[in-house]
Amino acid sequence: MSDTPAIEMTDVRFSYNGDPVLVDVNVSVPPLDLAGIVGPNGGGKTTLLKLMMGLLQPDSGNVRVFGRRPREVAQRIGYVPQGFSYDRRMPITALDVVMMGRLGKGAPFGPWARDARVSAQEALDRVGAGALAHRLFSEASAGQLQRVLIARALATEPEILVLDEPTSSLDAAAEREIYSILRELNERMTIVLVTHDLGFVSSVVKSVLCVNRHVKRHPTTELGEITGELLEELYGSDLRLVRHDQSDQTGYCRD
Amino acid sequence: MIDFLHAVGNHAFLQYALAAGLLASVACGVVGAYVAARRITYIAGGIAHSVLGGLGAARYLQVTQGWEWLHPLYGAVVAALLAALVIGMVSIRWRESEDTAISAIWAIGMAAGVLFIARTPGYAENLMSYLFGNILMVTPTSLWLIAALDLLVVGLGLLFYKQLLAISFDEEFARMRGINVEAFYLLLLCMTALTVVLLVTVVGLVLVIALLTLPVAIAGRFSRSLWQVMGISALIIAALTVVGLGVSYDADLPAGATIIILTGGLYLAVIGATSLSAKLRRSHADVDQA
Repeated sequence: MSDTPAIEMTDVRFSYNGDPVLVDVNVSVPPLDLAGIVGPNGGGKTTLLKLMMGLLQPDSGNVRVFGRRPREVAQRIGYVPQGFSYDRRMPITALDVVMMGRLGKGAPFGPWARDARVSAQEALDRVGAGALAHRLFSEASAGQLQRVLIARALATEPEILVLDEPTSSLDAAAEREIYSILRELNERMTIVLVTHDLGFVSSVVKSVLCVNRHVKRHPTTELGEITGELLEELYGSDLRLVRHDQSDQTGYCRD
Repeated sequence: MIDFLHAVGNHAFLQYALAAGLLASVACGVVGAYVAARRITYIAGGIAHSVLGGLGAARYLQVTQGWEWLHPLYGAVVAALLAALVIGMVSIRWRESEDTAISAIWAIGMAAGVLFIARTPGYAENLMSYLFGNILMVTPTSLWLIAALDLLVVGLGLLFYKQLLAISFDEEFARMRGINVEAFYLLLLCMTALTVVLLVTVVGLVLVIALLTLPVAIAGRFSRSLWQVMGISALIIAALTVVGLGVSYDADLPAGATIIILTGGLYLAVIGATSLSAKLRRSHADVDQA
């Protein structure tokens, strides 16, 4: 693995209708990191993800993914969106959803090729959802839906997997299963995910990106032998209470 | 119905009508499935009504300039494509103004059509057939145009199945996969425009929207993929067209309106039957649990 950061943002600024959402963002995510993005609602977490993927363009500053513009390497990024909504009357099986991850590979015309079908089934198997392949996507539970969407992202054979609140609508058991899948996937790919709580996640992630207009990265190793409980105590249930006064920067996650 | 089948064997105009209906049903099934999936029914409605401007303009020029070759359907094709592109561009650039653009195109297209028809010398016999269809007026010339449009629309619909499905299902993900989302959206709108023109010949521009949406809604209840929606709804539309033509011929009723009433009736019957059977199944389950 080269030294080029998987994701690097320098002096990035982004505003929405004139309101600054992110300012002075300087952050670097090393290859094979498993980064958890935390911060208050409206703090810019999803915006940060979309900038990384090239779905949004910064007002100023640079975003580089594997040293290149996000748009150029979009095909190497697998994306799992948040609160996925679609017309539930649209009949489509889980396998058909996952096959969309094969877009841009193989012949562009006509129906799906056989190898798209095979890869999609493999991706579903990897997230333990192989049995859902021929079920209607609209009949999937929240946990199953999330697995299918992760499988769709995996079907793209990504080098970076980006997930926006992958477990927000799941119960604790389903959440644990999703994170054990992610930890396994992390052996081969960089993972960036937005999360709303740090309780259990803190034992999974390798670094924490604290987002509230600014972005501050804490590798969990740098924080020493920090256990899940300790991190939870440090960050509290309300992320606005995060303290950065141990480091040289202060108050980035505060209001 | 027997009388009708006999008559089809004897009268060329009925054969043309039947051929036009069957051709249009294939395009209607394929494009209708995408229209429902991408939720652009209102846009399809706007395009359909704006077509009157094109029909009226072409007819006006045909009569006043003596351009015999200028079949009103050519005007319809131009107007429909223009409407589709304008609405598409507005919705890509200024999403919040999309409804305004559709409403404007809808009404301005119709108004232009009415003005052209008012200024066209002679008897305004065409207005009613533009609005409510006159499938019995299909000529060999228009049949060729219908066949060409049908081939084009269905070909594109099958060729770009994956891309059109992807932009309908999840635009952002499609973009990440390197698909030119805007281009395919405009392509879909143009395909919708051409399908609308096909359907105008069958049921008229006011009634197009029913044929484009209801059979797809019925098919959606029995399908597991967009392919199946296309196939099943095309069959439903074909059957409705044949039966509608037959009934209207036997009872001496306007064909377009008859087809639409049958379509509406079938839709209500299917909705009623499926919700009733769901209710029955639930009450059986309650009994089993008790």
